[in-house]
Amino acid sequence: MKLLRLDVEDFGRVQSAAVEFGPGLNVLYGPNDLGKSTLAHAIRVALLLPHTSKAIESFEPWERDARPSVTLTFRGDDERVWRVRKTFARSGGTSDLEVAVDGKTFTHEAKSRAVDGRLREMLGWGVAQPGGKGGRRGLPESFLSRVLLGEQGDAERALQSTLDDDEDASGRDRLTEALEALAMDERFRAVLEAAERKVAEAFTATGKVRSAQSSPFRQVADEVKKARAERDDRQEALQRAQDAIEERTRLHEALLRAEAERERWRTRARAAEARAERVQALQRADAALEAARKRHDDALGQRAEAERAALEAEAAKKARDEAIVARDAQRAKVEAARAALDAAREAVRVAGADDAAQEARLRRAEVERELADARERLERSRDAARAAHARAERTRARAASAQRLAEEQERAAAARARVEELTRRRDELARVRALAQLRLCERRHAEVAERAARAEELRATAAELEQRALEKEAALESLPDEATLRELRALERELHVAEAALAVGLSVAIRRPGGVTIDAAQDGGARAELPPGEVVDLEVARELELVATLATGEPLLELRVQGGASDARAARDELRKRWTEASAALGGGSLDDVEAALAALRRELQDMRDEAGRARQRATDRQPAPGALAAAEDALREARAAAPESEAESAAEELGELERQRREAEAQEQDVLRELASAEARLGSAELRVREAERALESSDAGRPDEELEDPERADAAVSAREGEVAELRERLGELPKVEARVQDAEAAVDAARAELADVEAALRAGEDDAGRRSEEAAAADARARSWRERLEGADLEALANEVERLRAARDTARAELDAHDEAADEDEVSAAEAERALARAEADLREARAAMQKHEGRLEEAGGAVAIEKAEQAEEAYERALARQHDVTVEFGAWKLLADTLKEAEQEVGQHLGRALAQPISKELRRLLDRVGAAGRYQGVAMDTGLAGLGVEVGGHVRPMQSLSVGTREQIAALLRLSVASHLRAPLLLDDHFTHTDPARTRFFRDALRAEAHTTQVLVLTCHPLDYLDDADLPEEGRASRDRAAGLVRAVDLSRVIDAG
Amino acid sequence: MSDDDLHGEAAAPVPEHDVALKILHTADWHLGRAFPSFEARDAETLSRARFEVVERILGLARRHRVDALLCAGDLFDEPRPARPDYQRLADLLKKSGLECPIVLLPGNHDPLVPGSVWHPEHGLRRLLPDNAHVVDREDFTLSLGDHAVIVARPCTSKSGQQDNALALPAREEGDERIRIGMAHGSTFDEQGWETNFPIAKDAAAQRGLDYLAIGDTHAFRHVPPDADVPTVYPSAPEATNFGETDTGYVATVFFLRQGRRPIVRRERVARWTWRRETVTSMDALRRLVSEDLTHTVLRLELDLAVTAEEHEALDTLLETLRGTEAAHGRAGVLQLDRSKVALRTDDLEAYFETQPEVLRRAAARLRAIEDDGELAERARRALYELYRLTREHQGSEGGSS
Repeated sequence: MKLLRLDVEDFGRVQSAAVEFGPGLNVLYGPNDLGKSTLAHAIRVALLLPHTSKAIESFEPWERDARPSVTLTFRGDDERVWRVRKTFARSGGTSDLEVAVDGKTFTHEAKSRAVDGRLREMLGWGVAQPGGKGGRRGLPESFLSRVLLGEQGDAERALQSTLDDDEDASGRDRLTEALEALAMDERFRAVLEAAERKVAEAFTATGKVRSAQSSPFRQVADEVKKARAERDDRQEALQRAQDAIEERTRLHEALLRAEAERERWRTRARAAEARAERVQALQRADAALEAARKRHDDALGQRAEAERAALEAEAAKKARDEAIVARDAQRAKVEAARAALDAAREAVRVAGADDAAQEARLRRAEVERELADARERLERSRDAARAAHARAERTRARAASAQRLAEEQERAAAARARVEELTRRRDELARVRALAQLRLCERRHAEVAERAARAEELRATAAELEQRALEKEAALESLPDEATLRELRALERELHVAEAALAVGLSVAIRRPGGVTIDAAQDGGARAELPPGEVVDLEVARELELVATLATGEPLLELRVQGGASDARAARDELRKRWTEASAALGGGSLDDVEAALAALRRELQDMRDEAGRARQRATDRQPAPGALAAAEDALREARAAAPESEAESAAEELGELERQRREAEAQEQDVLRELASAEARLGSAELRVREAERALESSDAGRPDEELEDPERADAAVSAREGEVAELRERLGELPKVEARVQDAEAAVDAARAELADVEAALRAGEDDAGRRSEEAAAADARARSWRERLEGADLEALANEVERLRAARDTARAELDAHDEAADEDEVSAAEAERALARAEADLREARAAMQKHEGRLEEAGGAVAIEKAEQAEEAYERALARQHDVTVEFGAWKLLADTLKEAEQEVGQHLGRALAQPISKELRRLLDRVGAAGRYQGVAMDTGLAGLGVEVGGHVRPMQSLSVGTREQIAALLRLSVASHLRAPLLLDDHFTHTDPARTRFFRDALRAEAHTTQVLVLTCHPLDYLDDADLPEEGRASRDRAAGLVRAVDLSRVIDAG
Repeated sequence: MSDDDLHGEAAAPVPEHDVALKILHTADWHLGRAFPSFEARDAETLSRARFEVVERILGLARRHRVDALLCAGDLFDEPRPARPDYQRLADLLKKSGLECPIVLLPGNHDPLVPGSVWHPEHGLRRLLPDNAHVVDREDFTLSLGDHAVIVARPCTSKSGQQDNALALPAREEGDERIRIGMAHGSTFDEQGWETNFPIAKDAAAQRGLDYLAIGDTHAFRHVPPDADVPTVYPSAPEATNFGETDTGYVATVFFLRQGRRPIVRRERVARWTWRRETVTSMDALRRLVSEDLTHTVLRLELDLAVTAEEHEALDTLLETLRGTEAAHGRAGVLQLDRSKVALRTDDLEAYFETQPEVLRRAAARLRAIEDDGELAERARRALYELYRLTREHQGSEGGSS
């Protein structure tokens, strides 16, 4: 758009004026008060003010009663020439819009109110269509109207203007289009608003999660918290139930173990009993075997004896029979001899029947009497000799008995000695075994005691840990509990929120007069003197304290500015007070420290408990079975009692070795015992025999205590003497004088017969004696044989031998069984008594386990297995659903927040483009300007927001607010902004005495800049200093109103020649 | 149960003159049960349903003119229910118009422990009508005239190993009366909790009973089905959870003259059906929504991928199911799991192509983080909401785009 011509009538102080504008730089100059600004305003009202507006009042002619009238001709962006004519009046005013396609011939386009509508549409400056409600009174304004047609002395307004204040988006659209960027879209705005409404439900303005009751996060968090608490309670209850079940299972297992142990000991006790029985059986079998063997041996001996006796009896019988035969023969001989004697006697009687013979016979008879006496004496002597011999025989027999007794006694003594030796051996072995047993028990006891001690130690450790845990717990209790911490946390949060509410953000600009020192304390910080400088900008969050002091030290002013409403502060103070009181519990530490300490303590406590639990567990693992120590002690005491008092230490240290020694000793002992038993048996039988022999000896002496004992030899000698006497007498008899031969012969024959008879009788007597003896002997032998037979009758030797074999087999079986049992026994053999004791202990353990089991059943009943599980599942499900809801809410509102943020980011991205797009050329020009005046690098550029309001200048990466710049600089930046906007929009720019605070050097920069811009941009400069923009040569010639230079791009217009001020 | 021809609803009527005694046997009401995994409104509906079914049971007992109403345990969900709950039960019993004895047995959920609702000193006792008999001692006996007797034994803990049925007194010699036993516990064929008051399957025969009324398991069943003496779980009259089968009944028991085996009839009293559905397509969801779900507790799992456009339709359908503040939903009670609803966003690119740049850019930014693990879910949701809002405002702008 280019302005072509302005015609003004009765407008303010201008009665009439007509100005034609060049396409480039137009410098319209004239003295003050000529009406330059009036012309500028005439352009504004022509374009923007409805002719009915009251705002024209200030431009009604000062000295005439006329209606102000303006006609502005311009070339539109469509290259058509337009002419707007407005006569201002509340009533009777007119507006007309005409267009000339060829630039000359105007045709009517619109009139009255429609004119402004068309114009605004054509301009696209962000001014709303007229007639809308709430429209501003006076001259309509917009960002572009202020930038392009800015009023005199109002240079800075352009910097403060923002597209955001426009009534209509057309200005932004035009700029966006021109700057190839997009501004905020309506649809976008609606979407963003919807998203932000949702975000506001859950988040605070600062983006924090809202904690109010109505906040969805709060609701769902409460729900989760409640569900979690319920879940935890239920889980705890379930845990208790499960613990109880586990405990029950454990107890059940313990019960089963106790039962198994009881069973094991029962079996072992039975095994021990069985073994003892087997040992006894073996011993019995041994004894039986021994007895049978003995019986067998005895029987064998007896049989031999019997056989011998039978043989002897047989021999004796034979001898008797022979003796009887011999005796009978002798008897016959005696008969014959007697007959011969009788015959001889007859012969003698016959022959001796005279006196001599009588006398001879008398003498013979005398001798014969003597002989008979002698014979009688001989017989007595012989009896005596026989008795003596018999006695001697008996003496010999007694001596033999005594001899046998002595022998038997010797054998008995030997057997006794053997028994004693074996007994000693047995005792020795028992001692060794007892010793081995003692060592074994000592080792076992030591082992059990050590385990018990270790367990005790572990328990002590556990107890100590538990004690320490208790101390920790006490320490823990001295710290605030969870609830207090939660309250403190909540309070702290509340306090932060309350403090944040006060942090409204204060921007304070302080202008400091000379000679005044100002100390400032920001946000409760330390007071510090402000740096020197004319103007100081301060950004504080919530509180600022200022103390101004005169150079004299006299206080000038004390100022305290606080953000937020007083009730918010009071709330904050109240909270702070509560916080101070409540946080006293923290003991000076921060909440985090205390929580950390609490957590650490808890962890430590847990660790200690765990360790104590482990120690206890280990103690339980190590702990010998209940009563094991007592049992070991019992066993030890028993072993000690059994062991000899002072004994050399066993060389063996190992249990196994000791055990082996003990078993060896035991085995040897068994052997010795067996041997001893047999030795004792032998001793018994030896003693028996001794007693028998003694009895035999005694019986041999019995009955003849007082008998005169005669030596048999003397008796024999006496016999011989008597025999001599008899023989002498017989000789004397023979020497008797033979009466007669016949008698003598007869007598001789008688004597011979008598002798013969005597011989035969002697032989008979001898034979009879022999036969008698033989008979006696035979009878005795027979009796002996019969006795043996009788004795043997009951004893079947074969049966005895069989019995021995059977018993040996039985004994072998018993031994094999015992060996097999010992071999089969896979654990240490225990004595039956030991096994009984262990069994009793196992049964006691079992009872204990059963009692514990029953007790825990009770606990389980309280915990309620199935119900607890069901409730826990229900609570778990509720908790999970609450978590899911929380997740949904988190996702939902997180999504809304993400959407709102993303929309704003996208907007920012697009919006900043507009600001940056415009800031770039302005910054470039600003740098060029600074360069030109020797202030290069002072500012890097300008910053503009999305509404194109100037934010400030960039200094060292930061943006300094516009307000901190000098008026002159602001004026120049505003000019650069205006020029840039006009250039981009190809719109005319009106600079009404703009550079009043600009020094000549910078003014020259602008002169050049404007002239350079004249190629593309139409600029109307209204000034009273034309040479700020023009050379002398540019000024109109004398008498002329205007002059074009630079191929028409620079036009100077002397307004004093154009304006008729009336 | 497949024995409907014998015991079921379809059985022929039993001639009155042949019936010596008639009882109604129920259990496992679980009054006062909380349903914490449901939304408050639904939990309330479900809690209320438990009282409503008790009302129907009482009505049924009245119509059948039974000689006794046996309630075999777990009538309350907790041993110490809230006052409104036990008061309400007392009111229902009082107003039922039933004159026959009502026997109330403590179960493992509501055991007879000090302070429990069944304890003689509990406030409930003063509120109960005279014909209500609480089994509050181990030798509980109640004669029904001269010809029948009820023996019962309560649970006195939440769990236990003792067999309360076997602990009932045995029939004495010469006792010709109908003997009915009551106990609460699980029969041995029940899988599960070993400490839950076992009941031997032949307990009824062992104790000389004619019928053993038990409770605990929520499914209707005869234990064992062909026993000489019926031992019956009447089931929970309203289910308490998904996955329970054969719930919703009571047992009506007819004791015949001449000592024949009693006839047991299963009668439905439940109003609610608990149902789990997994829907994998929009069509299936539409079909489901078209069903009558007024008395259905529906756990609906959505396992499907939808475009943004379908997602809008999905939301509408779910709203129909669930109802709004103003209107009831089609489902009586709805528990919804939409965690497996996948949003397909691939078609959105084309949609946003024609949108203002700022929206296009916003959509592009969201799509860029759509696969960013942590943010993915939010990003997709945000993208969907962007789509939805954009469409909504596009619509309100009069279709101009």
